Amino acid sequence: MEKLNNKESISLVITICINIAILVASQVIVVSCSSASLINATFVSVLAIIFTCIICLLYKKFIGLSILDIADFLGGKFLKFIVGIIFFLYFLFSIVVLLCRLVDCLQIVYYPITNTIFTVLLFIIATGIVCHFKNNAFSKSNLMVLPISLVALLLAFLGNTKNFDYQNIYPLLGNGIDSTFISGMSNMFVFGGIAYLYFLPSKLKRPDKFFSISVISILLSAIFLLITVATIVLMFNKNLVSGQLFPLYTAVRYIEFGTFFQRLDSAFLLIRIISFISFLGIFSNLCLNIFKEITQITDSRPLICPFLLLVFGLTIVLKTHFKLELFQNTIFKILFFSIVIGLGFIILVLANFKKKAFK
Amino acid sequence: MNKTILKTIMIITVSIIFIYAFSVSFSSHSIDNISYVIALGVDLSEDKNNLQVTFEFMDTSSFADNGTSQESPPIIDTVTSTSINSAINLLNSYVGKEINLSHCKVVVFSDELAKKGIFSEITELMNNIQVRPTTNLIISKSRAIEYIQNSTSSLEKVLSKYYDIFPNTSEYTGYTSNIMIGNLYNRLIDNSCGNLAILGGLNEKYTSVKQNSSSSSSSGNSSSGEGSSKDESSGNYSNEQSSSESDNQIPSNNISPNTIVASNSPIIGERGTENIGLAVFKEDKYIGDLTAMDTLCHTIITGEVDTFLISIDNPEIYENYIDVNLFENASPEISVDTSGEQPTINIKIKLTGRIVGIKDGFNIVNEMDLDLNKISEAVNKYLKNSISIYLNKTTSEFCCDIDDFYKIAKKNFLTTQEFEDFDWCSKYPNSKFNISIDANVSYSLLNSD
Repeated sequence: MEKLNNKESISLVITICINIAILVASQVIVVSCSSASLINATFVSVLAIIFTCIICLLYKKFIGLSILDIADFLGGKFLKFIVGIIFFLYFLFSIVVLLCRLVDCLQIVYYPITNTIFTVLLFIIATGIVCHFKNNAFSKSNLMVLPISLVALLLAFLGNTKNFDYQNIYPLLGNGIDSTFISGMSNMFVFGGIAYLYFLPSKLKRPDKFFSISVISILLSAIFLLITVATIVLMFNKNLVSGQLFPLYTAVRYIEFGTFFQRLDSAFLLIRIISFISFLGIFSNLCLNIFKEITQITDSRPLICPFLLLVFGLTIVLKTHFKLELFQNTIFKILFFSIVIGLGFIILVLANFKKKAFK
Repeated sequence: MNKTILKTIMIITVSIIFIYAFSVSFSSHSIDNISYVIALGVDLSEDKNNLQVTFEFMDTSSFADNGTSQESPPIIDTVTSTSINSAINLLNSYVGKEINLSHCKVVVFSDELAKKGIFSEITELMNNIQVRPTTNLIISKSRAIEYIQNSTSSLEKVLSKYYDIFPNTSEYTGYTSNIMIGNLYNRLIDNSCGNLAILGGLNEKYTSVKQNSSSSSSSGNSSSGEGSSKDESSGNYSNEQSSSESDNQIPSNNISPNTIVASNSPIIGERGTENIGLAVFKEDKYIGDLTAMDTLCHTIITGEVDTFLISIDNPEIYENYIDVNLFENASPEISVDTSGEQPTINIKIKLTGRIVGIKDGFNIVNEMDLDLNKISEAVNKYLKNSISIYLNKTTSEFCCDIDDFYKIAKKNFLTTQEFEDFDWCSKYPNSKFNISIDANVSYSLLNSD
């Protein structure tokens, strides 16, 4: 398998964070923190950067190894299998929740009559094609898509400056210290890209650059998270953000450059769809790789179809039988903290102790 | 070989499935199957329990292939129903094409309905994905259907374009404001404030001339039917103009911006409607009007107006009118002190101005003997007085904050709960205002110091 260069690696992490931020997290942040959303976004960004630095320090003794290799070192094949399955389920959950969210939005805006199955299938097939190509096609295509996605995000911010109400950041602490800093800490789940960092060292061309790649990618993700949250907070009352459409799309509907350039939301949604397919490609590829490693099969490509069918089935089940709010507002956060922050960190710390003990 | 065949079959199958699946949405959204509404009017029905919804459609055949457009009368349909959505539903079956609101430029509510409250109607519209949040909202002093029927623009042949650009006048007159339905809904949900909408109405001179012309044409055994178009009526107006001079007499007390509002303006023209002033809402109920001058004061305070014209009539400086064009250099500095029992609101406005006209002032301009400092002081005094009157109106008459001072007051609180406990709504009517205007007036471009 071809290794990833620095730019590709950074772009992968940013794509993951941005998709989570736009589709789910920005809404959760604004609803829970109200006018203090920008402070909360800054706070969780700082926490994410600090946590990334700690992970990088813990990885110093395991250069070029993924979390699965480290789990293998710590507890043998059994622990590797358990850790692999847990992360596999976390990535699968992220894919399903975000896919449901985007499909919901697309159905409201463009395909009210089309059956959900077909809209989901459209993404599944696109992801299948992305995963089918060898030589890290998903990361190369992502490198092309990401700049367009970031420019769209910047335009959503700049195009709306005339609609901004800068007084919306007051009262500074919004719903209080607790919702901003204590329970607000849970909004760190926006940095789902940190989960990807656990698997990145083994994919890097230059594993020695892991520290700079991680910090730069989380830092850039934080900047774009702030831009996204600022666009929403400076435009809307928090009660208007809790709808079915993701709020950044609603914000883009306000953009008008004179009477000539209007209705830019369609272009924005198209870019979001392409960027999301990129995100699906990244996480699906990672899931297949995890499965390949824990089952020790030689080629993961025959698993593409079953895996995507699993995603398809779960998405349909989630859309038809459950309320998405519970998953995106609560379960997403719990899983992030228990798996990405908790499990990943504990394994790294224990592995470091073990290494020290061996010496 | 077999693999290639299998792949080809797969691709063809998937393509067919998608063509079939998405053609349903495409067919219903195809431009051929859609009729675009450019304006929506909502009135109370005659029995006062239902809504009378008026749809104005643009005749798309009037747009020629070469990009030019000709004037063509819009198509107006009206439905009485329980809600806007059910009216759309009912009209869909009548029109035969799906009604689409994505190009709707204005929504007009009659003042009668607005007085009863329009929250449910606004929510209904905001929940409709086709309605753009940038759609303008007008409260009509007459029935909404009459407003739409008379809303023509002789200077802009394409009505949808006119609807698109008319709110821009707020930037250089300050006599109206670009109120969008999205912003209005945002503020409706925010309990701390009053609300505003564009105030519209029929041009009284135009309508009286129209009535005269229609009565004279009917007495002349005219055979014009019920559905006579606006073009015909405007044509009649031109012909009858000389015969209706009595209608053109404007009372002198009606030329002051302090009294001008929509439906009560000194304008005579070929347009049946006018948008001057703003409609004031408390929560979702229409409670009163802002005159042209009130609206100017509001747009000065909110920083919406870029440039505006005032006429100074101060005998100490000059015995006749001096027209001064003023520019807002920077956004007004507003601070709110909430430490006392009653809020104190401090407003600082900096302006630069140029004298653009002096009535009977030939000698004065030549001799350059006007004291510019005195004129600046007169401008300050005039604006301070007008803004004070306007703000007192908001506190005593409307009893609600329509200038978003509450947003600035929020700076003084750390949490939303603290602000809610302060109870801005009940304290705002007791507010004290400190207004400071700093205008720097110079001569016009042709004459300088």
